[in-house]
Amino acid sequence: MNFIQTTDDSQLKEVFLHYKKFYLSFGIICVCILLLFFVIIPQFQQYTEQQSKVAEVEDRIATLKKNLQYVVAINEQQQGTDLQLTTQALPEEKDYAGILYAVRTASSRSGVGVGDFTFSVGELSAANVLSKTTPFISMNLNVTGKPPAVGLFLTELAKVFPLSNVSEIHLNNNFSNLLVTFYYKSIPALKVNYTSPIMPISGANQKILETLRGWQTDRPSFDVTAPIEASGSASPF
Amino acid sequence: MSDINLLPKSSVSSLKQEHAIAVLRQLSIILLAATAFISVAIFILIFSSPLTRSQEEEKALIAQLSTSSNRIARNVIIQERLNSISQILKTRSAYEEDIKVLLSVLPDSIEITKMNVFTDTLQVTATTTSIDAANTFLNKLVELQKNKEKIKEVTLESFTLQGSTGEYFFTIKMTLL
Repeated sequence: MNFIQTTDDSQLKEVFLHYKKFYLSFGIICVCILLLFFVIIPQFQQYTEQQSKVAEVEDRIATLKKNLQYVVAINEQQQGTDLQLTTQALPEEKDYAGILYAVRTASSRSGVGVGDFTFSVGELSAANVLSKTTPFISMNLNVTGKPPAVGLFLTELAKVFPLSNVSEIHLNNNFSNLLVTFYYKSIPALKVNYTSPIMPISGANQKILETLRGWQTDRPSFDVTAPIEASGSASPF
Repeated sequence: MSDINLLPKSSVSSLKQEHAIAVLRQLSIILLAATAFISVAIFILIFSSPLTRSQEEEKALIAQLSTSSNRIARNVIIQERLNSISQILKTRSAYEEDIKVLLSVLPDSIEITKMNVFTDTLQVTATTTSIDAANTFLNKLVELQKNKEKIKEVTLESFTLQGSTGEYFFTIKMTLL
């Protein structure tokens, strides 16, 4: 501090001239260091980011190619049939006509007589329909027949569409009261993502499709008002 | 004997300075060259990256796939419904099988008058005039339970004889597997 304070201009000039030859090299080294931090390192980061982007895009391309290969190989007619089959098994909305047809089919195959029935629709709100669990309609159904015939009716009902589940059976002599639930499921709004892998139908699901094909019946256009051997009281509330 | 430095002191210092300048100059040239080389090399690597080409390929593939969006959507719907159907088939009760097993061990002389099936419980009320038939039926049910065929537990809830008609009435409760 003292030196600077006591040095006059001529002395400063002398110091400057003494180290003059160092300045250029020193300046170049400083510039190189600055370039390293402000140009080369960001450039390198940009390069590594780009490489990871390339890897991501390459992955997506591989998926897209697989998807394209799979989609091109799809038999559209078969797919349409499968869609129809699964939608019959699990309708997208409450299929009353389908339910009545299922009951009638199971009844005619098993030889039981169908008596009164009541639908318990439950909540009609959209939230119920769009819930993750499979929604259902409950039906309280009376049938007449001996226990073997009722057993056969249950077997046949399990093989017709829409899919159902009998949760309670109350038989008294030849009169039975059954609590049956028929399932349905709405089709959710789909957003097709081409870059996610399209999964082919698994072996287990192929087996289910085969089973459903075995259960499928040609369902005629069914008139709900047509008489079936029953007196129906369908009450949605 | 000691060495005698014939150069003046200022010349020695000047030589040291020249040497330092030469080293510094070389270092600066090497650094400059390395910086330029690395910078150009990275620039070339970035410039020659296949990113743009890959992105274009991706777009082209998406455009190709978008023409088959119906097939993709149908595939998703089928999968989703099959998963739900699988769940239903796995969880639904198979009471018809239980009834079939029960009827398979039911002697002809026994008649079922009442049957209640709910939450894995099968309750049967039956009638017969033959105590042997009732005994056979009960033994067969116990055998089924022992063999763990559909039945987990068997309980005889009541067994009565109606004197006027000579009919036996009995109620059996079974917990199903």
